[in-house]
Amino acid sequence: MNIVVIVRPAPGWEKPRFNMQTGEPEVSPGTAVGLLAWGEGTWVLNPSDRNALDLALTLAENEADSKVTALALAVHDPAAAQEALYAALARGATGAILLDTPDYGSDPAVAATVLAAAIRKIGADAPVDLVVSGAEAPDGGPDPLVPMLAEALGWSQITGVSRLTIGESPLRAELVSDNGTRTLEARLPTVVSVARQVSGPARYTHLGRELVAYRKQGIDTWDTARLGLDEAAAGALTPRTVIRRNALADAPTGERLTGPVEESVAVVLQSLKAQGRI
Amino acid sequence: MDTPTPANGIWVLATTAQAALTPTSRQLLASARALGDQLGAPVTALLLGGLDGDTPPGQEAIAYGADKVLLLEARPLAAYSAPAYTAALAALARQGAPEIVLLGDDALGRDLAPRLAYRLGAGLIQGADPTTLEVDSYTRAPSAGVRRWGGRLTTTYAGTGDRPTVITLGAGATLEPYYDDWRYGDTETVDMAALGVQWPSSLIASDREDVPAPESTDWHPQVAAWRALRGAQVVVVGGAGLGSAEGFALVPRLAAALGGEWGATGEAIEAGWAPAEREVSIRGVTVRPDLYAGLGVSGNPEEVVAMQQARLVLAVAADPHTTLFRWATWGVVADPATFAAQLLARLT
Repeated sequence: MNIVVIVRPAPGWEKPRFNMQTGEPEVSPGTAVGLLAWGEGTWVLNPSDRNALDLALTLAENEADSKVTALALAVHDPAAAQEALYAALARGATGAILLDTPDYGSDPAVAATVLAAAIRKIGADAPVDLVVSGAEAPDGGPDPLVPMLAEALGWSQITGVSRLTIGESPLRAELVSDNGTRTLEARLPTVVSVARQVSGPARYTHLGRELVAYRKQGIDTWDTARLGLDEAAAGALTPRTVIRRNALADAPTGERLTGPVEESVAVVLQSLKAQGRI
Repeated sequence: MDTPTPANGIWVLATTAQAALTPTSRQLLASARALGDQLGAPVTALLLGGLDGDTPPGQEAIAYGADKVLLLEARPLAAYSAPAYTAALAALARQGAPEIVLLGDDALGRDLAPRLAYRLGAGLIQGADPTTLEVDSYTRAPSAGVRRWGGRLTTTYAGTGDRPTVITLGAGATLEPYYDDWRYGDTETVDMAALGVQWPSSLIASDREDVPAPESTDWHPQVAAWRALRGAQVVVVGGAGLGSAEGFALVPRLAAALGGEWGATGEAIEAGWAPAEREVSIRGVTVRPDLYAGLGVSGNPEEVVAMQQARLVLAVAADPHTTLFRWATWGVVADPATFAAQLLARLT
């Protein structure tokens, strides 16, 4: 089975600073970036994508002649995308490709177009059966990538999957939806988004393997020309939404009650009554 | 042939439950109505899939703000699938593209909206706060704010005005559904054959027969808990700060006294004080209540993301530097178990 996993970096440190133009976390200048620099600047695999990678690796283990290729778009901070790919290699991906294109990450539709071109390129040698990625974007919100990518490729899609096994169709996906747990038999090829809650055996990665990944296995870097994205596609690469502004969360405007508990209770009761809640 | 002309303007993808509009759809129509009035554009409610003989809630949709209701019924639409819905809506858009398409930020919206946006060549704003939804009267471009990074940053996205924009709205606890019984409008069934929909050939195979049907919600305890929490207007969540199982036991009682539901953080569940299906965090349920009370909840990003759209937030913690206080309408520095016991005593 030929599987492609789309990975993204997420900030691994507690309190990111935000670039107020792009709304993405950024590293202060002068910070050492890399595996051994704990604290600010440590990028990790987006947890949702990590789950996706794990599901793909478990599937691949059970099928002969399987490949799991990690794919990342160089957005905002290209070093961050590299960190995500090295982490994917350390977890067991058989290959890693970095798409070194201009910053297309801001608009998910453009990202989907570029990634679809890359997947078609990968599929030129051996057809890609399955594309997996996380259902959650690094910023914690729902990620539109999988449905858009499915449309760009013309494939079916399954979102919010918690488990992937070989079934009759040949793929069986379990998802927890608003109505409960469902099991679907899926035909290939398809694009799958993986939830944060996954079932199945846990996978671990060893720090030593991460260092080996750095030294031995390379990351293939592809650029726009290699992807065959030319002027004709330029229209498809125009952002469809713009960021008007980014604003940090307001300072708390609420009341702070630090007195004796009886008084606090009284104040809260009063306020709740005023709000019509009791 | 009498093909109803779909309106330009604003489309709302409405969903039904038991032949009535879902609460999400009512709120979407309310937002659409506000935008429609501002732009002078019609609001069309779209119902896809057929309703098994039940009378479609056309008049209900009109009363909640639609100017027109379109029913799209076809065999490929009988069971939901994103490729089929996208194909049908794209064919409809060929007759008159909408300016704005509204869906809810639920499982359906997350599965369908991105695919539809890509097909229509539209921009996408996902998970927007409905109270920030605006439209520029001059450029007719919509804009909306999205809370990201655990609520630390709000990014306002805007459409470009020269192409449609698909927006999914989170359930805003503050948005009152609009209702006017005197409104009138048409409910029309779209002539699907005339639309010339290019149905996709590869659809996901049907659900396995031996799995219980999704309609029965009681068979899975997790589902019952999640449904209750999702719809609740009051949610009381207990965390590690309560100190013990006895302290945590106050949480369900307080929730009952306030007329709401109760939940727990991951730490409380790991300590064995609550079952896993009650987790209110990024791993569990996201709640959007009117009142959220966090007792001994630290407010780290995982927990905040699951409650950041609550209107009123009561945070009780012993440590004055607890992160949850940043989001609190009332931040009480006290022992959570003591506070909960006294509040409960005063309420009952």
